[in-house]
Amino acid sequence: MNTPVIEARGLSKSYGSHKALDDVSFRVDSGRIVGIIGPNGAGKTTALKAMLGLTPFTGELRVLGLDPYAQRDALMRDVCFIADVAVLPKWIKVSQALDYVAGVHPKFNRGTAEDFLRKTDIQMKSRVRELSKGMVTQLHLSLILAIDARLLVLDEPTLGLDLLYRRAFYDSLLNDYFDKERTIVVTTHQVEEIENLLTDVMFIKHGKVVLDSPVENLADRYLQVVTTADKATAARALGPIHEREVFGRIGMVFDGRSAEELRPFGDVRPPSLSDLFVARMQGAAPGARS
Amino acid sequence: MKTWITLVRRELWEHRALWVAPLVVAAVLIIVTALSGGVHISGDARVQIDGEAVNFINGITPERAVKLFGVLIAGLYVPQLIVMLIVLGFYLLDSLYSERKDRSILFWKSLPVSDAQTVASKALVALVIVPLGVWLLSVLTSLVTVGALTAKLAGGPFSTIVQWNTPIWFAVQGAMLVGTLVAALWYAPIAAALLLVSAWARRNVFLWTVLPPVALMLLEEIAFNTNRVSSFLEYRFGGFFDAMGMGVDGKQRVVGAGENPFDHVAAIYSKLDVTPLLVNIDLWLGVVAAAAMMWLAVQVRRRRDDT
Repeated sequence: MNTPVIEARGLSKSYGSHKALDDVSFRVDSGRIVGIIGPNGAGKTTALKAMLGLTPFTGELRVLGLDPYAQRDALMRDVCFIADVAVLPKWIKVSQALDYVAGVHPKFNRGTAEDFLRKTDIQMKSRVRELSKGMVTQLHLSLILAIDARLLVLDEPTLGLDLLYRRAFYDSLLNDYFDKERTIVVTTHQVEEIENLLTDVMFIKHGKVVLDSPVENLADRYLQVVTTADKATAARALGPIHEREVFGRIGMVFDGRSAEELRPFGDVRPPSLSDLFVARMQGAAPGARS
Repeated sequence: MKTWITLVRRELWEHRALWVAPLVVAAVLIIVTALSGGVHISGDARVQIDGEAVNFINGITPERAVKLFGVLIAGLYVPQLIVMLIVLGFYLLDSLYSERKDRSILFWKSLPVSDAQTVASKALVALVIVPLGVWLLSVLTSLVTVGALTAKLAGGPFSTIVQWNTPIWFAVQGAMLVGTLVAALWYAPIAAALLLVSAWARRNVFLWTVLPPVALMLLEEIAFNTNRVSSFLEYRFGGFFDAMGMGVDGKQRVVGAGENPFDHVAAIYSKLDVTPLLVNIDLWLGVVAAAAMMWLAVQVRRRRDDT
């Protein structure tokens, strides 16, 4: 348990002069569900691509003890990923997709995949191009969940899916797949959707990690208070990292303040992951910054 | 081994033309022969053999009939080989390009198959699997068509024209098999170049294949008024038989101007000797170039992440 599943030190990646990842360090331990959250273009996908050996990088990165770029094929015996929906080839038949993965993956259990597929409307002889987007995701998930991997990486796995499929996707992920031996890393910009799923969060902004914490520690550190305009100035003195005005009431997010300090200004509660995300991404409100 | 079989099957699933086209050609050949068996040949039809036009029926001596049989057997390969070259060309150009276009490369790369295995599997399909399949299919086709034709003509006025000849039949099939395998080596650099374009081009793989050589040829023509590039390409593309030592004088192909086609096609099986080709340094230089280009294609596939 002490060897990290993923360990990055000084990980960087540039596209021309644009720094997609800028000296990033983090570690992911076994049995965690880590959400890498950031706006589009923040570097989440680049981070995943580096972990999966899909792109060269500078700095140090070990995934399950391997160098992902140099040893991608070996790594893929223990790592699965769903890059995003609809990357299954359009021409392949469902039965062929099963044959293929069974043929190249030593840890694939065909029976398990067929069991998953039986719960869906997907026909063995259908081609991927004939399936709806949601069904393609179900098929992909059925293939991936039947692989006895140690690390599962999901990059915006539910992009473009309707709510029913999104729910079902995460439900089967949690119920049928996840256990303490496995680790899941998921990126998304739809924070609400995975909020209750994660054990750890990592916020990425402009190629830098701006927050990296177990979810249970967040409530100790971040608090949100909803106050009124007349108390706002006093509250601002405590240095909120973000504030937002809604219907005349002002929500402020604080880093490292106690509930006792904040209670005089209004209701105190831990911010939702979405609020925290917005706070971290936008930084302090213009009023507080000046 | 299981991985390799799976990789080859995957290619045949995606590119059905690789096996559908040869089957269609074989079917057409069989149908055409079956129909032509009943066609009436006019009494003064002539055919060019040994440099003279001889009457199709009574001018065919037993020796000439042997030659004619060999030509017929070998000729059955011609449509198959032409179609195969076209299909393989498009296959190779598409093989590393379409996976990027439809982003399925992200699925393929999520499985424990290396880039080298992927590129090698495509070269294997184009240079070995499909040519051997086409050879085998041609063997079967020739059994069906010529066998049926011989049986049909036996005892009739045309019986002298097509006479089953087992040694010749085996000689042609053997020559074609050896030729297929050696051709795989000779044409490997062209296949590798197509794979490289397929892995590298962002779009318009076809233009990227055709334009650079054409541009080079034009430039050379304008700048130096020479045509080394075009003769080199001609040699690599069409010069298989030249390189095998069967070309007439390095300029003329197997069936060159003023040459007798029958004699030359007959020469393919009667004088088949791949030694000149196997000791031809150009063959091995080509193999080295092919290996280098395939290595590059592997690096390009490995490195690029524009999907």
